[in-house]
Amino acid sequence: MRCTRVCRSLNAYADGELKPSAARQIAAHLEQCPACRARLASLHEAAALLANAPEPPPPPPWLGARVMARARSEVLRGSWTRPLPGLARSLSWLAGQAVPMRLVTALTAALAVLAGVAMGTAASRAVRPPAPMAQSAAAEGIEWFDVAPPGGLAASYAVVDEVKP
Amino acid sequence: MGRGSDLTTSEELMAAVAAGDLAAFDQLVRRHEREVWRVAYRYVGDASEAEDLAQSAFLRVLRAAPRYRSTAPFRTYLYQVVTRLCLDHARKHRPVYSDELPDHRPAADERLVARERERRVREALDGLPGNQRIALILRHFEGLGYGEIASALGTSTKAVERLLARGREALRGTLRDLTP
Repeated sequence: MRCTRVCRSLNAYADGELKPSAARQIAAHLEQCPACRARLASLHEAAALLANAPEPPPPPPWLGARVMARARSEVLRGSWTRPLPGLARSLSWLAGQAVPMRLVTALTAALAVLAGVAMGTAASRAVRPPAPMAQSAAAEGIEWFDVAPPGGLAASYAVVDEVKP
Repeated sequence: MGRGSDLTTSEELMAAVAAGDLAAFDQLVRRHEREVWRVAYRYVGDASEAEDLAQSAFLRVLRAAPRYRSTAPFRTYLYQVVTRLCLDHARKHRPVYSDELPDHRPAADERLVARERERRVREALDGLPGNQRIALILRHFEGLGYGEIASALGTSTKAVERLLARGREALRGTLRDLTP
């Protein structure tokens, strides 16, 4: 194995990330190559330097409580919406479909909605609109705008009202 | 507490959260707050900003719960969320380390020397590009494998290897005088 190839895998070797066969090859090379051994030692030095990094303080004791308070307020505001169990279950199969199948499903749903709208419009046109009130009143022989149609109870009251002193 | 208390794995807790169980979310937060905090603090170096990041990470987890699929361990997913937040944060801010290090070290001289080394290492880490820094944090302090780091960063294991190599090389260059 050449040094250039060893160098490319030296980090993975130092981190124990190589397959056993590759690691054995590098180990064999390292036994014979002082330059690569020096490179490996420098990687260990870098790791040792990081050991000097300060330990983080423990998380603040209120962290969990604050997260939960924000979580509850999101739930209350409705910005976090739980899936409706029935709806989610009935739509969950869609997530597993391939993209073309999802498109076909979406197109079918859109066509169904359009067909529904078209049928609704046609049905509403088929129903005759009610005749205007004046026209209908004329047909019934009623004069809607008379104060008191003659011969009615209201006309008698109108007469009584007129003779009052 | 709801049925979250009976569940054992974080993946099961996430499934309960997706079904609307906030008690399960509470358990998830308590179980993972330390690791989220550690990564955030090591990355931003400031308690207040680390707390904001940690809170944001958990709220993202909550919002994403209905879409979560346990194809990978929850821990890997959580590191992915924190990593993205850290990298976003780095684009907006420069890290500012506060001086609130735990003060439980021995004699004054030793403590000064140790503090100075910590400060140098911290600054050297701070000087690295964000993706090298987070790769080193996840590898050296959280003990993640290349595959997990690759998931967290949304990259390949080869790219992780390169990031670590460059980060280590840069650290050695900056801290040459501290090496034995």
